[in-house]
Amino acid sequence: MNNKKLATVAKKLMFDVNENVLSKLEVEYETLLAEIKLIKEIDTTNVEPMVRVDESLTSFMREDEEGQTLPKEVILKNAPKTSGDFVAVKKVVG
Amino acid sequence: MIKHKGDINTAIKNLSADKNNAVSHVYKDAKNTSGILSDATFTLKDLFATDNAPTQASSKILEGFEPGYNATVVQKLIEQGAAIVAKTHMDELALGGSGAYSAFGKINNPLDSTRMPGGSSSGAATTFDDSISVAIGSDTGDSVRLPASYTGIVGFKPSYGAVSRYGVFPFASSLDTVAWFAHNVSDVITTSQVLFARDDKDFTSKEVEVPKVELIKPKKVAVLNMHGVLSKSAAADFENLVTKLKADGIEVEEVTIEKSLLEAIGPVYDVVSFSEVSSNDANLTGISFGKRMEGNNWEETMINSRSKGLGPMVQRRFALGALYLLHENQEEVFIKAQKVRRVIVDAFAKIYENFDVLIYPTATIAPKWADGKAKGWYQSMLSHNNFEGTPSISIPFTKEDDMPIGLSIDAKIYEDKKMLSHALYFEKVLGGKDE
Repeated sequence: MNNKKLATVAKKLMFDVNENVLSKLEVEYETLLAEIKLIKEIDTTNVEPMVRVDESLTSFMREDEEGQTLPKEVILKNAPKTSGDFVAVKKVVG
Repeated sequence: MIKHKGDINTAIKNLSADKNNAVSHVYKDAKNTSGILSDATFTLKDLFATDNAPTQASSKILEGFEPGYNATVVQKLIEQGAAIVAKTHMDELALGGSGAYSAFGKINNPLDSTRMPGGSSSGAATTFDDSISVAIGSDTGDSVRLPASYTGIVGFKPSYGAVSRYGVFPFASSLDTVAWFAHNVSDVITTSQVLFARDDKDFTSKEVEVPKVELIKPKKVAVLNMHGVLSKSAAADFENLVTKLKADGIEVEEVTIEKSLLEAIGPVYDVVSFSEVSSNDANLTGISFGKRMEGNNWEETMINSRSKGLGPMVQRRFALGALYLLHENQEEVFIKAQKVRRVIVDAFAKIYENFDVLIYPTATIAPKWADGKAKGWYQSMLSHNNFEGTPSISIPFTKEDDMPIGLSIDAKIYEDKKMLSHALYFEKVLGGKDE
């Protein structure tokens, strides 16, 4: 793991990591590894990952009834550019 | 009814005059209406959607964002007559734990401005004076309980699922819990009676009962073996408390969680929460959500918006989260952390099975900014309640160097009523004000 890798990973999350953040992480790298080691040291033989607090099965259906929705004007209020009923963005397909 | 009534006019005055970067919006026309909270003043962490003010989560990427609806919690408060006087700032997007990370300015501890107030519910805690009855925040790893201890007030994290998270901007979905500050345990209970309910709009919510809660002395109390981390004075005060409990006929026993497991709490929290949040906040792109900073094409727009709109602490956590989720790291890091989460949960569960409550001093005193957060397991251990989903309250306990230290009281998941009934007892024993 190095800054280049971290920057590549951050790019996948669609942001350019601030230079200071990268330098700090480089300095902290050993500490981070030591922290991961603390996790790795715990015996988890035959232990299933805990993904959620409530592990009871949830399966329910509801009637297809119209629920509450937000009015279009309210949603579009936050858009920097609109075009009719749409949020306007730069062309996706070239 | 709420015991600590607060005062709308004084609250508005104080909040409007706040110079501590703690307030994101003041409701100058706040009023009470009828209901259980008809004489109570409330503040809301700016993480809760409100239809009459922006919800920014103290981040530039949400600057000016208007959700256009009320979170279920907000709706319930309004329906029971609460006067909501302000929205409060936090560590950005509810990540962080010191008060340093709001994009709108650092928040200091009101008792000593050279010290942190704790976070992420920093503004909620620092503005919590006598003019306010209850301050709503959120607790994902300790974000209400830690600032409560650092500022000397009551902080309560309910059982996971007890309160609807509809309209609460998510951080780590397997850990996030709506939580609040109060002046006394009775007001915590009254607020629970208003806010606890299953909500069709939040599939993780459940019915957790808190009908009339009365003071009940616990029969068996577990005190956590702190492995020598407590300061001399905190250890002495804790010992005195134990003596008092025993003298009152309570069976008190020290319980031990292996140090290696306690040391894994912080790292597990980091891995699980950073990974979950990097996914949850992937929708803040500037395209259809989040403040847009234009680029030449959609890709550039997303990168610009996120690079400029997200603060460095958030960027750091997202980057690490993405690293932990990389295919080559997933099994060894992320899934391993989820397994260790279960090992931690199971270890504490054994304690809750055999005792009415588990108690320990919540934290050290608030660190000085110059010193930074202390190292070691004690600074991160409160997250164990978030792993478990168990209810936990921190009530004022003692002081050191004139700075407060809270007492944490934990119980089995969904036994909020039981825990709170015992918390009333501890509040009395510690001589806490009950109004």
